Amino acid sequence: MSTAKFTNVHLHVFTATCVPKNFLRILPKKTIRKIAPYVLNLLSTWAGRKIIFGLAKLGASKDPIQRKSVDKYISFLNIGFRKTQQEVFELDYAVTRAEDAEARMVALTINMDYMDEEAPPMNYRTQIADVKNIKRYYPTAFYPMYGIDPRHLSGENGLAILKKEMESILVHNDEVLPYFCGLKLYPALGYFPFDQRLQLIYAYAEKNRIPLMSHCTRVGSQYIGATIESLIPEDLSLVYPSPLADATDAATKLKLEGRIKKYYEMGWIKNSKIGDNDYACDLFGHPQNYIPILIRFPKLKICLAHMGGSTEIDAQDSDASVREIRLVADPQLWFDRLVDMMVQYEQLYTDISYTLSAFGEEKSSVLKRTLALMRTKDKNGKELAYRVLFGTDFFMTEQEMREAELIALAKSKLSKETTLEGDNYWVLLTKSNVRDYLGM
Amino acid sequence: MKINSILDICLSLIVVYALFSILVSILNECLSQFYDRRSKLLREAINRIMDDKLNINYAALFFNHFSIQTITRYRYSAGSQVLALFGAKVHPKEKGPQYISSQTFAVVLIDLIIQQQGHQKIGIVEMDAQGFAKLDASGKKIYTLGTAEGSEGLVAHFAKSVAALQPSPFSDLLASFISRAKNDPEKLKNLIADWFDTYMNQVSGWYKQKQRAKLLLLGFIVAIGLNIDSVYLIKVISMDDALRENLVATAVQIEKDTRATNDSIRQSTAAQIRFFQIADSILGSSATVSKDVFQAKGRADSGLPEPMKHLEKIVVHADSSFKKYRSQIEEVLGIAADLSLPVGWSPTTAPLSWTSDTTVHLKQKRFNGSGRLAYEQRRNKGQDPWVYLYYFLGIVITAVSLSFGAPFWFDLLTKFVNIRHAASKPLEVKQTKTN
Repeated sequence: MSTAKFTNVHLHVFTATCVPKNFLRILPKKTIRKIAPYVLNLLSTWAGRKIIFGLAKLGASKDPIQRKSVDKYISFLNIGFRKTQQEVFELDYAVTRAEDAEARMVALTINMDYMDEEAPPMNYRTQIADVKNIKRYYPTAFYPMYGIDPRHLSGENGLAILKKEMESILVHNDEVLPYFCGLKLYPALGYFPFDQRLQLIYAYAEKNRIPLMSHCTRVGSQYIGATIESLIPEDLSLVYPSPLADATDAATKLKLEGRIKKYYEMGWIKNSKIGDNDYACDLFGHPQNYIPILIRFPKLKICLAHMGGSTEIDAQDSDASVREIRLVADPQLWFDRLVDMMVQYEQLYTDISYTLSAFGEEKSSVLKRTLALMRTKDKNGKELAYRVLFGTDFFMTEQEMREAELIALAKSKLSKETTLEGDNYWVLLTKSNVRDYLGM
Repeated sequence: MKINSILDICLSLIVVYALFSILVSILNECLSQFYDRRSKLLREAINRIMDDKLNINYAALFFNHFSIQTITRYRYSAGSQVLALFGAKVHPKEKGPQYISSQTFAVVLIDLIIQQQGHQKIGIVEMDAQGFAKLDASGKKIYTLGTAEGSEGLVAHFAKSVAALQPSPFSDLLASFISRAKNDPEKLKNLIADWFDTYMNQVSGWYKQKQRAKLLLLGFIVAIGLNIDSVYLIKVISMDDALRENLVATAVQIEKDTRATNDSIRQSTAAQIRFFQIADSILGSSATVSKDVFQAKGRADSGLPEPMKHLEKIVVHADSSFKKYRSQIEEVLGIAADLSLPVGWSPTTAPLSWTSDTTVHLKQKRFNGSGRLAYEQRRNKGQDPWVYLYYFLGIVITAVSLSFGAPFWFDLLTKFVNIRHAASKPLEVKQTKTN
């Protein structure tokens, strides 16, 4: 095997021009959702940003969870309003290089063209073209993943477009470097990961050993358009892949259908002109949605990022809405579900990105539970620590903690721990596991 | 009234409008620079032609291109500099280019298309017997390299890149350039540059249209700010022979100077101010005349009425900084004062006199006669509703007139001076015959 290099497997470089004009509808505030494009316009100016940040902090000062959420978006906006994706990348690269001069950074592109009715000023193709330029300038440091969405890439045509992108390469010092090192999913933007339109792509990825990375938390970006009902059919057969003669598959389909039905009954799936789709979008990113893929493509490496998110690791961290969902339709924490799935499916990975910012919080059980996950053995008796990856989720985490602090925190907490075989957690997560996952 | 008198009144009024239109132009320029209007319009215009919805938004890549980035300016605003004094973290504000030459546009466009489509090599992963990607001893995938890009010329390379795009109106346009270029890279560049130039001419038309409403608003600000009532001006000019003669002489002198200059110089605000100053200095010494103008005057006296080269030097650096705008405004106001124009605010003149206690005696008096003094007294007394209406009308006429812009009034001035010349020649001939 090749020498493993320090790799941050989860970061973002997109800028405000890559997001639709109503992007701020991802904020859980109805008033902001109504005036989202105007707020975004105001935020595009330095003075406007200062005023809005001040007001947002003041408004959320009484509620720590809300404040955390506001801070996250402020941090996102502050960096997101940088001029180019290259600038955003260089910000993080400067920090990560200090940790390891040969560091590799996996940037996750996200197709936001279908997040709303109107595409962003810099459409996804342009985002990709821009990202390719960064790859040309930083061939051994920058490793982007190609974002897929069944509304963009579907069936044979979609596969043909994707193949062209995945086969495009650079040759640097006689080394062949593909422009894209994996595929990125962001289901909360309005599709189910098991969507039948993506099956050909998954088959191609499996054969070509292209790993898949998917966002897996309740909160984050989401579909903000007005027709959520059209994206979640009550009859799941419309989007579910052809059934297999497999009991787990059949049972999974039933469970998913049951959950969707419950959501409709509760009125959580309802078309909203202002993109009030918070509850409904959780359905897209649910960890159980990956079981049909894991069954159908047993060699396809999938990483469910963020371990389900801190609200799904530590139940105390959840707000009222999540507690309500848990009570009515989804009792198991996503983290626990993910551990169960990782035990069962050996191609399933997770990463500690974003969630690692809670490692230093005394009252939080996130670190304790993460270490417990890593010590858990899979069905073959191998510790799950061999399938956990290091990522930071730059630049979402900026307000939680600076990138250098995050790396230092993770290092201090993980370098003390080893597997039963004596492998250091820090080395595993940042180097060996990433090499196994990416195949490079 | 004789035709010449009517022409003189018109000419005098044109001189006044031309002078204050310069003020409107300066304010407009100043605001355009402050709000970065030109670069924003340029960005919008380029976005309109380069956002290929079926392919890539090349405009976004265009402004990130190194050639364009190098002409993008970054500066700290006055506000952020003050905030920085109090320890605030401030960032320089990006000021995009206000102008991009058509040749630069063509080069960057060709580069972008080739870069996105033509620089990519293909690597196909080798498969093992089970149909999965084959790995080497180090665990890396093995690639078979596709055909490397050829060493074809620029046009062929560009054509190949355009052919790789999804058909769209934009790619069709690029394809038409390729077919017309006939494998000549220079011709290809020129075709793209010509297209860009034609388009930018249209854009400057839109810009002027967009400016119209702003100029009207500024016209009102100047008309009210300096209390320029056109009805009053016409009356005073028609009644005050000395004022009229001075304004007509200024107009004649300006026409003489502008005749000798080219269009681009004539359009410049700095040059327009200089025309007034030269006329002012020739017709009577004034405090506003700078050393530069005296030099220009010297040339005029020595039989060189056109201070062309001198003006060119001034114009090059004149229209670009806020300090200059301030000094230009002072110069225009200085010229207005030298010409003794009946404008400005005073408690003894309308409209302040209508409410002022200091003119209470006016309200008790009755005025007769038709001289300037009697007219002004009637106007300043303000007890006749028509006076208010005329004042309002006068301000509106001024605002609308100033919004036409200084170039319009300078052109009109030239035409009227010529008409006046033509009208006075038969009179001279008639007088000679009589003698």
